[in-house]
Amino acid sequence: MRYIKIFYLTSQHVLEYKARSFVWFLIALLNPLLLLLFWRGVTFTGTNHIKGWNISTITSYYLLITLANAFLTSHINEDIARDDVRKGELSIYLLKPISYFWKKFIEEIPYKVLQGCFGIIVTIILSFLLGEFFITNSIAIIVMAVLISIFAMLMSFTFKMILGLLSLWLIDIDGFFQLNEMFTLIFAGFVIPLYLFPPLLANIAYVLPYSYMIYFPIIALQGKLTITECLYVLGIQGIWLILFFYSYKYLWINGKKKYSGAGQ
Amino acid sequence: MKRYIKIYLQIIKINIVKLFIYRANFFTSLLSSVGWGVVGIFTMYLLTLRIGSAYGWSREDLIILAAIYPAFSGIFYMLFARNIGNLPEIIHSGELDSVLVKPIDSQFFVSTLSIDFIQIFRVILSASFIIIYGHFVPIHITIFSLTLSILLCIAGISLLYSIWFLVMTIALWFSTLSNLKDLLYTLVATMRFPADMFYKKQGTLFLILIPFSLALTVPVKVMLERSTLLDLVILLLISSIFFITSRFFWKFALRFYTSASG
Repeated sequence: MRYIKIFYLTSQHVLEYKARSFVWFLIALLNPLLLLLFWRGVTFTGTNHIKGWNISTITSYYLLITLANAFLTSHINEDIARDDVRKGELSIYLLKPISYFWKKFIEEIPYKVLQGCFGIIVTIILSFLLGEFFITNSIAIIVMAVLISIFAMLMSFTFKMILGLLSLWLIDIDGFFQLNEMFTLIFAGFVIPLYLFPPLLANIAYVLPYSYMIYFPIIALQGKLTITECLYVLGIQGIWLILFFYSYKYLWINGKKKYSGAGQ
Repeated sequence: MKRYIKIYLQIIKINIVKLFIYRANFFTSLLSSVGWGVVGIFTMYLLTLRIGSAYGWSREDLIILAAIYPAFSGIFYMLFARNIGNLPEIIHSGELDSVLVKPIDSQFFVSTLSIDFIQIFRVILSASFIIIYGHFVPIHITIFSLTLSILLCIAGISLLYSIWFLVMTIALWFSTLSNLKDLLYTLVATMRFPADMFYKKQGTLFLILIPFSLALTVPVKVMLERSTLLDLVILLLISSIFFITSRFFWKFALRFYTSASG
């Protein structure tokens, strides 16, 4: 019941600052749109596709990035570092009989729903204007893609919680966050689909967790993965989630001992 | 004018001192500033890995455009971005009062107070990359084209400054929209792509981005000796119009400043 109340109060807060939230959405939207526009003016060398990707699939890919970014990506690390650790607001959470992890998670949902709604509206408009937006028509693959997306969202959230908690040890963590953003941009597939990467770089991307938070949910929805491959991706995501969850628990237990409550 | 030069020299001195006070912050900012510069160039490398050309720009030209971007944006960030970005906070907290009572032009003061010297490393990054890249691909740059290009960069930075200032002046009415600054930082990244992208049919959705991309595309075209006289005229004209407008808009908007703070 208490989590429902938190959800209700956060929803009110999110709706109060709709304009601000829309600006954040525009920020996330701009990069994929620029890349999409760039690809539409590209001339290929000799053929009209690269490794099976043509303008149509690339357009869908960038539109889906807009949606995935709105629904799946968490930015909770900045709130934790700035408000909870630096300003000392973590003390309030420590006194309350609720889980810090789940409270933060519930608080994310209304924000994600609003961002997702912006994403759906913009994707519909753009797919009408550009006339090219394709996802798989296989129900089984769609179900798998939804599961992969849920796992991706949990992965992104837990990973960002870990990054946020690291600010209990590192006083100036902004550089670390920036470094993470750079890795995400390249290895999550925001620039080009990882399938088009040079082999060495692609292998690095498949080992790192970033691709499982953005790239795989998208290509699953595009129908570029078989059921077996989807299950394999879910398995890897599961391993990452277990690893992240135990890392979070370790950092939370030890971080509380480091926390002075005075702010930084 | 002489008084303003004197004041600006003082501002430079203060900011050099500040740079050495916050040494921990120095390395974080250095990492972030140079890192994003490298990522920008690497992004264009990845994007153009398997293509012939885009919008009439060859792969090499596109990489040069992306490589000059860190230097160009770095100079803008160094001189103006942080100051203009702080406007909503200054307005929201009522700090603008203390600026308005000073015997100095308020736009000059709020635009120049802080200088982020770390951004110089982005210029070094760009210059080093182009020198190295020039050894591997044939780039034809003459002293004349380079000089003209640098002069046009000043017009480009002035255009960028005016757009930022125009947008952030809106904070005089909506001071809680502090994330407008983040939107502007994202819009600056438009300059990594050629302005030609927005002239084509599908680009009409993005007409609003043309001034951003023109700011760098024209100087780079001049450097690569691919520009026309019209390109130069358009940049100079747009740059002047935006600067004059930003000036008038600031003076107009100040009438609505209530000094009440948020």
